[in-house]
Amino acid sequence: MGPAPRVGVCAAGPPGTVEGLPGEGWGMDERAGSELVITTEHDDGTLVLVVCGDLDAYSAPLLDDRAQQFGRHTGTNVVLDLSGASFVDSSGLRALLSAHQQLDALGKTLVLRDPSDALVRLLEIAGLRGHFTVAP
Amino acid sequence: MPQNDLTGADTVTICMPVSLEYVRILRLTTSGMATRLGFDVEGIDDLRIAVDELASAVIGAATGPTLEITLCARDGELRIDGRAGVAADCVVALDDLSNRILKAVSDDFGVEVAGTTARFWCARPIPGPDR
Repeated sequence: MGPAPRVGVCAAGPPGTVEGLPGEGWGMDERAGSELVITTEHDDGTLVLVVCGDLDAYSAPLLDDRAQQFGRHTGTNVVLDLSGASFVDSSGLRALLSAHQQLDALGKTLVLRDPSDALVRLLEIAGLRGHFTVAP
Repeated sequence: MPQNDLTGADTVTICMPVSLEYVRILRLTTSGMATRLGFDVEGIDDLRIAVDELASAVIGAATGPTLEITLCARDGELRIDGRAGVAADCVVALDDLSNRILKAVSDDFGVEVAGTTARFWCARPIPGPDR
């Protein structure tokens, strides 16, 4: 095992180093290894994946994996509650596109429920808002 | 004191491991700097997205251990520059989706490789006092 990663931050001066980051106090989620938390809920007979946190290049593979697993093992459509997606980048959009395509091949629909403002804005920028089934 | 009462240049420099795990720290720093300079919520979000897309692209190609980023407020704009070591024959490319997003959130951005260094930049005018 190599040395612990080091992060240095300095302002208006020579670079300094703050040791011990990341770690306790940075809210790292052990399940995801990132700031993304995905939980499962039952909503009136429908299973929902609730996505909370930052959906970026680091965390997007987790969503892709979970959505595909979910799609393979349930007989229903896949609903993603994205109201808590506080940050989304192109990798997050690609994960959603990938999940959409994989589920479509299985004859299921990916439903984006209550997408966050950050996600809606990025979908609009990318011209992909009409590509997904969106539920309030 | 006005938020953007800056004389000369305000500069923040970050050195972080070449790992996507740390891009969040860069987004947080960018957000803090933009807030201090008086950017509105949309401007801050745009800068976070721009720096995320560019840093992630460079990290994907980097071979060096660290990514160095400088956020500099000078001459009426916030400019963010990043650099990391890459293989000599490396190509850092932004795909269509990243390009589309970057064009929507930044007027001035780019990625290039020179020798064994990849660098990225993006810039945005600092809001005036009348905003």
